[in-house]
Amino acid sequence: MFLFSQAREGSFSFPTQGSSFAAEVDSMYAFIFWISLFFFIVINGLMVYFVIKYRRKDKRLPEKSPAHHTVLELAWTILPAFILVIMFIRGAWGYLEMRNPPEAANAVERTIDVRAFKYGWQFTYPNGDITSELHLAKNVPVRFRISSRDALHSFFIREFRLKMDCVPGRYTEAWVNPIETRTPSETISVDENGNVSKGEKEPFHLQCAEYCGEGHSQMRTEWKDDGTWAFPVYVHDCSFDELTEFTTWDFDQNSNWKNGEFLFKAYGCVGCHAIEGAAQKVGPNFRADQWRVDRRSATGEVKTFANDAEFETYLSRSINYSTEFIVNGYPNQMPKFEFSPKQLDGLIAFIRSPGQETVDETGETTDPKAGEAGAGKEKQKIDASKSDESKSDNEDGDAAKVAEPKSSKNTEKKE
Amino acid sequence: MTESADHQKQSFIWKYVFSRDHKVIGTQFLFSTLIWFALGGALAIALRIQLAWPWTSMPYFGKELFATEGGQISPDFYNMLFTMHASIMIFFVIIPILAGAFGNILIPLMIGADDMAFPTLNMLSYWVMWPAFIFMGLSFATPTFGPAFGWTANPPMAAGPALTYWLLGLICVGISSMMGSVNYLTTIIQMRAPGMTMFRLPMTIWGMFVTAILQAFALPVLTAALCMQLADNAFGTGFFRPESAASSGGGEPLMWQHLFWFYSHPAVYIMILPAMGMVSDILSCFARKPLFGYKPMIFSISGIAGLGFIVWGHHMFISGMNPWLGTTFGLSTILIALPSAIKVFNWLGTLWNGNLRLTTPMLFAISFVSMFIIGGLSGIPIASPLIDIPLHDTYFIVAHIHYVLFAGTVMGVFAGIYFWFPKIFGRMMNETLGKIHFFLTFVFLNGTFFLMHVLGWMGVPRRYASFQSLKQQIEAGASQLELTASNGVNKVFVMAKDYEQIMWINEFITYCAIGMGVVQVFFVINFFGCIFFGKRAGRNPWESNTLEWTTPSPPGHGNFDFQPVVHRGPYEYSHPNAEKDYLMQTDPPLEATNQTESGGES
Repeated sequence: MFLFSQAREGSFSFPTQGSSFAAEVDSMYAFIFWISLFFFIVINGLMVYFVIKYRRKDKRLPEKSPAHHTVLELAWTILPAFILVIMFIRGAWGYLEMRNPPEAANAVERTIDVRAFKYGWQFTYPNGDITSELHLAKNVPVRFRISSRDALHSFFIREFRLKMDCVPGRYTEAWVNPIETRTPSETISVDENGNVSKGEKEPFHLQCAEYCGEGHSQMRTEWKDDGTWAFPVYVHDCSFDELTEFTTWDFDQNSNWKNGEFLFKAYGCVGCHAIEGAAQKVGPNFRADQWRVDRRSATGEVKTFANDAEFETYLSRSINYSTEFIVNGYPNQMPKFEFSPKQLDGLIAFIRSPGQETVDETGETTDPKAGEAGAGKEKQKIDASKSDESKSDNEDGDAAKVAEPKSSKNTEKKE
Repeated sequence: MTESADHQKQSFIWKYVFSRDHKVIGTQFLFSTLIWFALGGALAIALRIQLAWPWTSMPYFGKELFATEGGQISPDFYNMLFTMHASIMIFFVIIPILAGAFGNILIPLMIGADDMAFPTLNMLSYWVMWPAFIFMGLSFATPTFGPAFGWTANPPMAAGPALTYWLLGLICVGISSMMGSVNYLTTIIQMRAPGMTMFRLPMTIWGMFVTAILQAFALPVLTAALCMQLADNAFGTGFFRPESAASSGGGEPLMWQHLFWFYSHPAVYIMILPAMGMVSDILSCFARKPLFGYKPMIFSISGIAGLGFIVWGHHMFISGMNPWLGTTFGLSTILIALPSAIKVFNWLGTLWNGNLRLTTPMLFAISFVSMFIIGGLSGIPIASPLIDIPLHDTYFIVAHIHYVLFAGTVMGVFAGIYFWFPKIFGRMMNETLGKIHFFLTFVFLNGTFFLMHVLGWMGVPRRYASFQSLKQQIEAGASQLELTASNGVNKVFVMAKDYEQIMWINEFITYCAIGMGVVQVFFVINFFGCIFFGKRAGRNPWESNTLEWTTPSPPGHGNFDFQPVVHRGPYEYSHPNAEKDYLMQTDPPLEATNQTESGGES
């Protein structure tokens, strides 16, 4: 119980108060908690006392005591009733405020679409940007329009004290006004050697709270081996419009591989498909050495690929028409997508060599083991610093990647 | 009692297997549910092992079923564990042990009837459980070892053959409960002994009576919903499955939640009210004192039951309901705290100034009250939607329900078993073993469930297979074909990435859960040992007042060897004018001048 009073991150207390209504929730909880603790101690104390005091002693007949006592009974009915009414009124007050979006949030230009699917999250911003990271601006109330592609999920961000089910076939809504910042640079630290590690703080935690199937425990903010966060919730100290800096992706300005990497993350593919040797998830891992390997379905049908083009056709159909061919051992759970040819090119380039961008002109992928660490870290370093600096990140990113033009040429050649 | 003479001629199979005697049927329920209790407990320990030491080799379950993967269970297997743990414990243990076992054995005995109103229906209510047992058993044989959709079976996620078996099983349980509840209501209303007015009924019978009403009114809704989901799953209809699901469309998943919780919230009271009644009787008996506030107790259980019908929405605070509707459900929910508080204060008043005999059933009954306070108080914050929103679907809920259902109901059931064992089997249970069983269970249950509150307010969601990622290292060059053939070569588990600080809590809880499972050995030894070797019990070993103690132990077919006539309420302990410190309900009236108003009849 003493733990309760320590409101520090990382201790056994409530999570950070990240939203405007979090403080009221916690204080309401504390209010009920202390009253409950009082009654718990009084009742259990009396009970222990009675058990000791009135233990059977030989030959002692119990004193005459009443089987009911009107004043006492009225007292212990009215007093709790009074306390309960206070609890209810205070709770209802806060609840109505928490559930009804204020004017400022209740507008189309402040509405973010939250779409849950097995097993990931996808956020669509008012300007059409799509990400798998949730970017919010400090002190800007936003409204979430929440839906699900398949099963029931629940959109739970513990630091915001926010939870709302994602119900297939209908929209639900929630709103939040974040009052604390969490930027990528706070949550990912890069030392002078380029080693990437968890930052001093964690991003706000998005977790699926409604049990949704096999991958339920993967639908959450999680630190991954490749030095990134899956489904993080970031709060920036900027205006809402400036968030485009973190959410917009220019497909024409980037190489196919970069586009693929972006889509892979933005559409939450990462929820089910890990890359290279990382943690196995619900779907098959993407690994460079699995390129053009035969596939077998549960019914025993085997797909072989005579050339790269056949395999690329197979991949594109597997993405846009996922139910066509299900590899043995994996569930038929992938949603159908409608990617444009350009987006598919990007995804295929990425899947071909998920560990790092391809550089070899001959079309052979480089050995993912060699130099993976260095290249990966380099990339991370850029990603981490990207969010800190404003505006110029696109140019920065491109300039840092010497290999870029080569690789895009390489993938274009294949088309 | 000509009927009992007929029955003595019956062959073994009609006397003990297809018996229409309520005591035999009750005992059949008791043994069946205790066996399922052991299985449900084993599943719980298995899932605790996964939570404490994720993705390591699990004893027995893992070793037998996942031998190719080094005993490491799959996430789906974990999902099956918590699904079946809940389904079994709720539908195959707690509801049938309270209504089926105790209801059957106690109702005719305590109201002075020679059997149930409909003995054949009563027999059927047990034998309909068997198809349910078989369907549930078959569901384990479906892919991924059984249902893995959570005991709430939310569409559209719940699907497949496992769901069909699970639904059929539950429909059979529902039919059984329905038959039972009709029977109990008729018996209690029609077959009370002369002089046994409604306000002379023991609290146990009141608990059973109110429970039977709840079942009779709420179960049809669940049964209809189960049939609708069965049609969705087996015939492709679209009651609950939305447009986006693969099979069919146009349904509304929220409707399932409404129908399901319209039954399953009253079901929580079905699972606690009979235990409250039994505990009231046991407390009064061993305090050697009338139950404090007999009538307020009856009104409060009726109030809990009545309110129980209009609170189901608190399970759906986060499903997008209109905030004003949420507020209304919040109000009705928080009001339930009031009758619950009255009951607790009355139990406390019963102990006050008593002459407490701390026998094993009494210890279990006292701990029921003490632990029910935790379960009740932790219900208040989650009744308020403001606080429920962050706590919903976290471990706080797990802690709350286990404090109510394990620390409450199961402790009450143990109290009932130790208390009525002499009447059922004619022999006493061993007190020493019983007390060891009590103290160890009490300690371990708090160790298991208390810290879950802490996990809850930290925001740890429930039903997560682990907070550690499952890492798969595949040797370079392994083809996809090889990969899928032995799904998961060389899985290596990696360090916790998230919630590192809770890992010791998870381990601690698991040690306590294993301990709690192991100490039930004392109960098993005591129970089966004493059936054969216990000290013989007389008619009334606890010097209790109610009618069942006037019969021989165990009672023969037809129960009473005389026609019981009731002269007073059930709680006339330590009456100042009586010679003994108890006055049985059948004892002839004291001289008229000595009648006082104390006791349950007041």
